[in-house]
Amino acid sequence: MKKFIIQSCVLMLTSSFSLAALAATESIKMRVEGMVCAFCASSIEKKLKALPATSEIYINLEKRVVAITTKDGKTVSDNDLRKIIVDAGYQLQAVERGKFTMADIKNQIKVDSYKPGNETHQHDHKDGKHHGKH
Amino acid sequence: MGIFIPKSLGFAYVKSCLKKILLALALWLPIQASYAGLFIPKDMTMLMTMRTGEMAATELSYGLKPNLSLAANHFEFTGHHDRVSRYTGVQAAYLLDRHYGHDGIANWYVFGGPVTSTYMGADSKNGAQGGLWFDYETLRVYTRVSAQRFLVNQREQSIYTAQALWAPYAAEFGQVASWLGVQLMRDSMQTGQTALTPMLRFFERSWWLDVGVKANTERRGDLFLNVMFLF
Repeated sequence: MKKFIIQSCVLMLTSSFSLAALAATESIKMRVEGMVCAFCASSIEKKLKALPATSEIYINLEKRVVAITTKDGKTVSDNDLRKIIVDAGYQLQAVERGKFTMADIKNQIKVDSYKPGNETHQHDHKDGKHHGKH
Repeated sequence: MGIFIPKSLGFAYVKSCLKKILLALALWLPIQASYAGLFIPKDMTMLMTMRTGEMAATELSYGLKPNLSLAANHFEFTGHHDRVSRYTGVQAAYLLDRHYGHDGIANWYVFGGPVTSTYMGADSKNGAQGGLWFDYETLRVYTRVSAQRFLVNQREQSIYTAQALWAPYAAEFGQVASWLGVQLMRDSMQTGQTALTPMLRFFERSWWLDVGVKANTERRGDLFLNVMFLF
């Protein structure tokens, strides 16, 4: 009986972790070519904010990165992201999807050796997916 | 029999020719002062107002497409011997080319539209204005040259502007960006001297402020203000 109770507890914990993982927020990191001016890039922020799936937004001009985290269970398609970037006057270079928090993404960007225009840079994807050039 | 254009040259060739024609046009155009930005993202609206001793401008622009914005504007110039000319019109600005470089972005725009104008209190006349604009910017450097000409009832006014600014630090998004630089402006309604205006620029997400003081010409000491809001 004791063994059954322990097994049940383990199963419940595992299930709750799995459900949490399924419902977890998605992180999307975009390389945006040409984004050097906050005034001009503010339209990206405005349009991303208007998406029902968007939870948090982070824009880094130096690394030309726009990152969002989504609300539980929601996502944004590459096409929608691309349209927002192109409408703002920029080019979407790459999209990386993962399960990172915004704090993680900010840390990744800080240590990222990426220099805009340096095509030989290798991304660190970990459990994120890289969608390459768009 | 048609004109043979090799396929590999087709679009690039036409684009290159168009650029040369526009560059020639810009050099021919009597100079115009450029006051605001033409980079209006799609679905965004920009309100701009500019004031200096001899010129006032107000413009409301809307980004219709990523490469096309529409604006309604009003200009007022006070020239030599206090001759005042006013122009009210609508304008389209078209992005001819945008180059995404390693460090920054370069833009070529052509703009223009019909105006109605009054000069020295006379009845209003219809005419047109137009010009060319080039800018290049990185996180730390901004340069711009533009030329604009007003043509109303055989009366012409031309304004040429050049700006060069430098940012002592690369501002992050959400942080106020601070720039310092100079503006050169030549207006055919003025005495013929090119006005030099040292200026400061500050901007953040949705607002933009240029402040300067004219350093020469008979308008020396005049305050230069340019304010923009994006929403």
